[in-house]
Amino acid sequence: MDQFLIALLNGLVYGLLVFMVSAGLTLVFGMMGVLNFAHASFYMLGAYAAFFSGRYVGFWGGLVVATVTVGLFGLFSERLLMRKVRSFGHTQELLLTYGLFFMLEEVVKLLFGPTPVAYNVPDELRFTVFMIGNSQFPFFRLLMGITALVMFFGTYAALRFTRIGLIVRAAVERPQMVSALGHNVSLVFSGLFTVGSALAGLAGAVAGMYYPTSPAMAQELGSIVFVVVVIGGLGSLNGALAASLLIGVMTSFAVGVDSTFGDLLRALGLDVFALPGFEAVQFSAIAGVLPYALMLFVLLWLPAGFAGNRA
Amino acid sequence: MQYLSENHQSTDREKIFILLLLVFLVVGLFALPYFADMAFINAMVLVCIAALYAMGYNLLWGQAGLISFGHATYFAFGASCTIMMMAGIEGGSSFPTPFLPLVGGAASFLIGIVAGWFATIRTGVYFAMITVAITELARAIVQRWDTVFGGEAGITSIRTAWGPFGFQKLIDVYYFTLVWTIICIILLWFLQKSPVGMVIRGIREQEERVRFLGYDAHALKTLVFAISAGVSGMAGGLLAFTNESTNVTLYEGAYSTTVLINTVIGGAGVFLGPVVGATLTTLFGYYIANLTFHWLLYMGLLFIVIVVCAPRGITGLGVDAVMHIRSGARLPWRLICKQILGWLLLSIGSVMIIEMVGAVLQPSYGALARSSGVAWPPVNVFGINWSPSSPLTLSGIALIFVVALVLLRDTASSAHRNVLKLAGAIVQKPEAGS
Amino acid sequence: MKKKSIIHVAGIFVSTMLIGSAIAQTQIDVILPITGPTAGTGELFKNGVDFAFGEANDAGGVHGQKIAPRFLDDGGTTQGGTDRLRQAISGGAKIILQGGGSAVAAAISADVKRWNERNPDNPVLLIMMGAEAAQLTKKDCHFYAFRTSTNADMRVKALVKALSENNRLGSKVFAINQDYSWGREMDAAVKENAAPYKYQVVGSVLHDVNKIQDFSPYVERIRESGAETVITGNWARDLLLLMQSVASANLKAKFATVFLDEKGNIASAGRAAIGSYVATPFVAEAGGAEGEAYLKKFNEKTGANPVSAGNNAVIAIRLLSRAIAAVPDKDMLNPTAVALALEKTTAPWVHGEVSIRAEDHQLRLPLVVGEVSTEAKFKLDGTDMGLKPVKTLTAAETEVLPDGSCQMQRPK
Repeated sequence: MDQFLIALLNGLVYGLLVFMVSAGLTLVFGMMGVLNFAHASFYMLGAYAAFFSGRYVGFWGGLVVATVTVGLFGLFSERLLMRKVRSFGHTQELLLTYGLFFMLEEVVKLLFGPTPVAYNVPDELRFTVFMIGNSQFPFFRLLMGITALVMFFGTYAALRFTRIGLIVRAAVERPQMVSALGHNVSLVFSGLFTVGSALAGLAGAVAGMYYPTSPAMAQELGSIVFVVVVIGGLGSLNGALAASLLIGVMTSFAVGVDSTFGDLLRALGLDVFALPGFEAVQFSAIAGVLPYALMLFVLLWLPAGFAGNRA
Repeated sequence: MQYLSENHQSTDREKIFILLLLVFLVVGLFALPYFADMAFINAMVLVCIAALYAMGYNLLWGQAGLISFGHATYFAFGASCTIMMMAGIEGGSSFPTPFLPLVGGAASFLIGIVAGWFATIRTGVYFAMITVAITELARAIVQRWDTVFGGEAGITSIRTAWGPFGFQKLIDVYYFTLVWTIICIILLWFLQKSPVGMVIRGIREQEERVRFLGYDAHALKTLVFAISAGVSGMAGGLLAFTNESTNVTLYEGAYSTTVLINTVIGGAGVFLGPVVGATLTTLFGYYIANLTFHWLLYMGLLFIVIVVCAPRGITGLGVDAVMHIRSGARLPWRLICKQILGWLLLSIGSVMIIEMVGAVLQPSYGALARSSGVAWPPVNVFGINWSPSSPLTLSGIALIFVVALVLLRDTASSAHRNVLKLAGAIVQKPEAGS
Repeated sequence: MKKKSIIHVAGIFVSTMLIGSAIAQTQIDVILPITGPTAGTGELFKNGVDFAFGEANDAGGVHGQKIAPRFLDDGGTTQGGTDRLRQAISGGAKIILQGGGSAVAAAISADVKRWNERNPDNPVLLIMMGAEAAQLTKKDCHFYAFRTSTNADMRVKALVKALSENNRLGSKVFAINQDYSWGREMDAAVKENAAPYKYQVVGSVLHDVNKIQDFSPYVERIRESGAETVITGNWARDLLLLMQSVASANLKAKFATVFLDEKGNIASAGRAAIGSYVATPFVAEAGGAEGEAYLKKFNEKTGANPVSAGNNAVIAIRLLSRAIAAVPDKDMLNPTAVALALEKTTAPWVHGEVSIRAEDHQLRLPLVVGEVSTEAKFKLDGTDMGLKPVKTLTAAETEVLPDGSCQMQRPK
């Protein structure tokens, strides 16, 4: 029972981390139709910004600086670069974000080197918050989870209960109509992009302490984030949360399972399909592949995702 | 995206000119081994392979309007199957060596049918994401299935001689690759010109209408996907042929992104655009990588510059120039010279800053400063030693940037306007001396 | 932009010609991953190479000439390795050093073997400074390939020997490794050494390379097995995340690793690293005065610490320069003569003399097992932790004898 609980909690925390990064991405895509490849790079920039500034303004200050810096950077790239290519179509925007993703990794390598940097949880935060059986649950993981939940509820509340949230939601559905009603839709776009980037930056600042901070961060998380966004539905915050938690828990449990494909086939009586080399492969080994299989399934048969509103 | 090359018929004079240019190019390529060294010939083999891969890829993009983000699977699968056949030949099979790339091509064509059938159910961004999902799945499976694909140690084999061909020397490999690449490109040209090609382009523009005309759009898109995969597989086969080995890293994302970058830089709208892009990036990576360790950053910057300022790639710019001449106006040479000089200075200035920052941030620089007693030891850029703290260096760089920006100030917006004009977004107004 | 590309291409041709004409007699090509995913490893090798060439030149060079490295970047890929090798050979290189991962090393070694078979009067010598895959000196060995690093068998033997002799190993060992050739070799080595060193392998796991985000489930499995020591050959992210998970789950098992001292690992692992062991070629505190002097000189010259692979590069170049010095002047860059000399040369090293075995061209190297501790004399990675030596094993103690699978064709 303990194992189950631990695996579940760990899966949830990891899922919440993925959600922190994918929240901004799904909102931006839902609204602008742009899949921002550079979103994971903003996550990486947040971690590095917090690392760099944390040495001067302390841990909490580092978080704030990271969020603000990355948000500004997002604003800058949206206004200066993406606007220019918007007139050439969605494809060009996609390519531009791709180029940014490519380039930001190189810039980080130029400034900080290719090896991981010493961005760690500060000593005063290294304590246990509760025990499950023999296992200790560190405070910092709880902090990550709480940050993600605050992010979710904050964004959800802002979208649901404020006037500007109403405008944003309307602009996602019918940008031209909203513009005709007199709202500055391009300003709303920019604002949304900035907020999305800032959220990714905050996620990076928080997660970078727990996970290794290196230039490869963006690539590592990037593909999982896309999977989550697709499965949850492009544009849906709830969907992104559900999908992240699902992926996190699925990965966590799959890794813990010890049996192989061969066992499964034999249990089902399908011994004949147990090819050598394949039947010895363990479920845990393909834990990383399950999300993509699910993504493929969703894309083919449920393109709007589980909760999305775009086909 | 405007596809200029199809919408504007070339005049006879232009056709002859282009034909002569191509003939000259091909003759030059065949004559290359007589005046180039082994390193360059090796680079050209890679250029041919990258060019063929990009041409196969662009069949999907330029013709069908579908952007794939996971083409590495078909490239790598072609390579794997070819190396397996090479091992088979080594073990005694009588399959003729010269037909090896066809093995890769056929294998990738077959999996392309399956993958394409699924992927072409959707379009646009969803199509792109399906290709990503397929490629990730394929990669995971292949990396596990060591007994067949060899794991990261890979499969090694050798080129077996056949008939009068030895295939043991690099020059043999070069001609082999060149011949196959040219044959495939010519076949792709005829495909593009054929009725099938026309229907595919119709699907790109207005799929619903094509369907009303009675065509099975899904089947046709699957066919195009499969052919594209097949050509990429042939390129993979050529890679296996020249390297005499493959391993599972070929299935990874980097090989999907390089072909995308090549196509964007070269231009997806012109038939030979991807070849130009592939040549440029391959040679760039091959040679510039020896001069500086930041070449990936330069390539990324180049990519972004092209995406923002020359959205139809390098060949797109060429086509723009041709259009300009055709419309009767003369090429604005002064403007072009200003642009060249401005961009050259901007490049030089950026390179200097990046190289100096990179050198200064290295730990060995700090060590050198401490041991030599000089606070800011000089950094070597373009063969000259610059001292990062000297006012001469700093003001020199600033001057370069200022001049560059002055030269480019008026050209940036006019370049943008020109492209929009051609894209029909702005109504043409008569302008004085632009 | 079209114009810019013409200028770029022109620049490329000009610089090609410049490079072609600038190759000197005593230039030795070094193929490293300076960019790409394994750039961190490349940096370690580069520091070692810079230091070692500087050391050799300060002592007067070889045959009165200075030797200089020319770095070629393979980008960490096998394609890059093949390309740079061809570039090196076409530039006239006869002796080539290679640093980086096993896959690239294996590809380059196979290419060198094929080149030598096709061009028997113009062979090329390859020294692999850091590849640890066993096959390179077993099934895939050939006369013109040398390896100056350890392999899984040697590392595991060093770890279990040192720890069991100091009563720190315990009787229950868990092996967790990456699922590819290196990890599988580590796994096999742990199981093989169980009987002689009297421990029981209570569990073993092979996991996806660099894909696992969260090692907690594995940590739980380790806890369930009751293991006292966890032996792992993991590197980079896999190692860091594993150690983080173990520390935060308050698992009392000790780690015995191979790559913990690589730059950035201890900094990134933070407190989770304390109490872990690593078997590595160099630990400053174990080297006494000589160790301290070497550390200092290395720092001065490169600004970095000599950790892990960097030392392999230094050893390789010390052996190479002594081998070149041992052959007559005219044979200075003759691969066959230098190879024959390498088989007989020894070189000084902080923890004991090093030499190369003639049967399979595998290095004989002493290893030091160190413990990460805040009480260490020399700190690493800018943290307050360093390596405290547990035991130094001589080359004879770490040696794993060849099993006869290497059938080398020797030149006449």
